[in-house]
Amino acid sequence: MSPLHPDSLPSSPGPRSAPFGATFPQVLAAAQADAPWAYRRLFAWLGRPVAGYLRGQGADDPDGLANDVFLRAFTNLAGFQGGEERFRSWIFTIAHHVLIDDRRRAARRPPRAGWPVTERPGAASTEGDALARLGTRQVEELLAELTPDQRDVLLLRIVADLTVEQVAETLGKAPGAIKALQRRGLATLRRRLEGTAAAGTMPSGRARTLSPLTDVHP
Amino acid sequence: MSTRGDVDELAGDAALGPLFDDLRGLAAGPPPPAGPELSAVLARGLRAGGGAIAGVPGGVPARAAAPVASARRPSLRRRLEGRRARLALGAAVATLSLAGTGGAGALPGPVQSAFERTVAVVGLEVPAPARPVDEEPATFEENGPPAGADGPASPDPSATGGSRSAPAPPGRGSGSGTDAGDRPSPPGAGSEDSIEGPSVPDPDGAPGRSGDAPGPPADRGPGPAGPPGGAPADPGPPADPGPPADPGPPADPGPPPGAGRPGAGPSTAPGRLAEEPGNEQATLRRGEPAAPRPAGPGPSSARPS
Repeated sequence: MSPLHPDSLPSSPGPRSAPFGATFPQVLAAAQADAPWAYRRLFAWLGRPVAGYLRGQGADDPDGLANDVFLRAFTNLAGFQGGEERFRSWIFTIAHHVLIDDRRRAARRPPRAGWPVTERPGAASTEGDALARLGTRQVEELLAELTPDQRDVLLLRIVADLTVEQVAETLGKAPGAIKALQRRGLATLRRRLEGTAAAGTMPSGRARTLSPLTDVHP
Repeated sequence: MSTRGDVDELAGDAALGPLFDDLRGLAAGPPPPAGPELSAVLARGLRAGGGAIAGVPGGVPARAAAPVASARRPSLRRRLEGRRARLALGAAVATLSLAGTGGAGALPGPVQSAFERTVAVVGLEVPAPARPVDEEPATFEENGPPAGADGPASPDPSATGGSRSAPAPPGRGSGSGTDAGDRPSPPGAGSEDSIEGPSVPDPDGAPGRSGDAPGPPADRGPGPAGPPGGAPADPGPPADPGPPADPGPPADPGPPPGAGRPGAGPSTAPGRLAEEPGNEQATLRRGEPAAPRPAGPGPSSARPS
């Protein structure tokens, strides 16, 4: 069996781990050789984290932007060199740039009417999805309390699972600045969560249930 | 050294832990649905499904095409530069060739006239063109071959004349060898010139050759020169080699007094050298009469053949 054959590689890599391990160079080489199965592996690995990062950033169409991110990454994959962690950081760097481009375009076009930002028209309207959207909405409300830099850092650190150095490289800042932004962002979130918890309206003890959206969306 | 621990440590925080779980829940689950373009790439690859990338919003095509464009751009630029370089080189060679040929007077008649007019308008000084070859034999037999034809002065003083000038630029002497005998000059002008001019005096006093004299000044016939000796002056720069200024082939008047006799003193190219300002001044200093002569002795008339 060829070392680049898809059967020789893990079929379903997890999003947060290093799913490929020693086989990542083979997957990368196959993707650089324009092997569709390698594209599918990489997209299955990082597609969801990228979409989650974009959703956490409040993108209008996080899934569509995630498509753009991977198209851009696959197109420029020939120039990439590095391992699995570096590839992850590279993908999120592209995602950050795609997000900035989308925001610039959004600033030039009129506000879109219709569905709310986080509700997708094609999504199934099961109870579980409704609860998931509610939780996502609450998380987005909390993230809206942060400055854009703090939100970038926390999302890249938590959702994208990047290190401080990788976040610094992605955002073009010094690692010390990333640490400061992270510290201030976490302090803001803590104050917000502890303030709502002190209000005593949280039945389950989870901070997210204290969101003002709880009253809006029972 | 990567720094990851502080956020993971906060995952156990009572307030932030659940938030972290929710945030990480954003990254969990199946990948988002692939759009048509990405689906084509995931199914067939970029090369087979790359045509669909052109419709991707978000500036992907421009960025995607950037490496390809940058890879193609240098070759195209090099190609253009090569063509430009070739064209510039060809134009430069053609211009230099035309200028050189025109400066030497070797262009065809109308072209040469146009060239000289152009040069006159521009303000450059171009030596008179060489006389056509078919006009030379009349003087060639008498005067010997043009100096430019055999290069610098002959090393034999007795054969070439009393004065051997400094080496004239090749090509200029070809015209001077003919013009020298064409133009009348005051008697004895050549001898003085051969002494005081740039020529090297020859101790033997043999007559010089017209081609030995510096060509361009004599050919152009500078304004101040000539009138004392009665020689018809050239219209001045730019030289007009046409018939009005050129008395034509010299009729051999015989040896002038004190000139052209072998061993009688230097008499190098009197016709030509008389036109030089320095020669005229030398003539005037000596107080010699400027007897008009229809034509100076040909250089080779004093040259023993």
